[in-house]
Amino acid sequence: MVDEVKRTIRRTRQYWFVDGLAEMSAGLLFLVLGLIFFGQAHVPGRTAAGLVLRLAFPAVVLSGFWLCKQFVQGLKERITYPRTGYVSYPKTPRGVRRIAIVGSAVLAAFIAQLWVRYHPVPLDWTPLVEGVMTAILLVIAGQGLRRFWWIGGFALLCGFTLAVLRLPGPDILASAYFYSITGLFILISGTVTLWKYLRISRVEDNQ
Amino acid sequence: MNTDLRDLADVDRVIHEPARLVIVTILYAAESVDFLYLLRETGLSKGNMSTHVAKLEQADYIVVEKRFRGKIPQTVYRLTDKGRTAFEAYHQRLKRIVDSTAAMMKPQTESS
Repeated sequence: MVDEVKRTIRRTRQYWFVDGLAEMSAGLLFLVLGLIFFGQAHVPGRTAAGLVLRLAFPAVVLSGFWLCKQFVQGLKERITYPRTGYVSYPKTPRGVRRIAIVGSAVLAAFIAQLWVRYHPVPLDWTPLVEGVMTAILLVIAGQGLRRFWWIGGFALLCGFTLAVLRLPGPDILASAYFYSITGLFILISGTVTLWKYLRISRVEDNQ
Repeated sequence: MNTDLRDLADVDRVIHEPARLVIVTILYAAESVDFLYLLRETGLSKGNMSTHVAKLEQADYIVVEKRFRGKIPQTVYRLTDKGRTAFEAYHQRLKRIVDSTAAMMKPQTESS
């Protein structure tokens, strides 16, 4: 019975991912980041377009999570809640959220600064580091869902392959490929999940 | 009656009923859920569900909120602080009983 309680808690938490919409939005965010990196690789940094592209990265990262949440919530209102029901999850207290956002931003800036100055590993290995971080994030976020392990594994493999290939051209190109390929994979996984979900669920009368 | 058996006899009977345990567990993991979700997850009929929900509401373990999602009426359930505390106490007690029973069974299994 104790195990059943644990399973029920886990299943309730996993419900957020039942329709694949969260993955689709994450995949789109990754694709946008990939496009920005492609832009940065091809547009000189000192031009106005280059400056915009450099500013676009933190802007997309900071606003992306909020936009993704709005996008997913809006679609769930139309697709998921009428079919399999509504679930809302406990919100992290605002203070904790602010500390987490500011803390993450400061930490990311600090690591980036160290990276640029000392290059703790050769810069070609950037996609591998990105792959490891993405895989960890996906596995944690996936609440034990098997397909998130697969996506995490793919991100890791993608990062490793790009690191080994050492693509010619600017270093940032490897990151562009990493985010684009991983984003596309996440988007496909989300689309397939949504397709499966729509096939097995119908709009029901709530009352 | 030893302590473990007394523990078992003293479990919260409002929560201990299997269908209500599932409902409370779901509400413990979420902030709020609607009728449709509970119905699908528990596999209960609408009538049975309403009865169990009413019992939990009577015990002040959950609150029921009626609202509209666009033009569609929606009934949303939320665990109260009292319900949360009761569930945690129930879960702890159950775990303790299971652990102590497993510990009691272990020497027997090893000796046989």
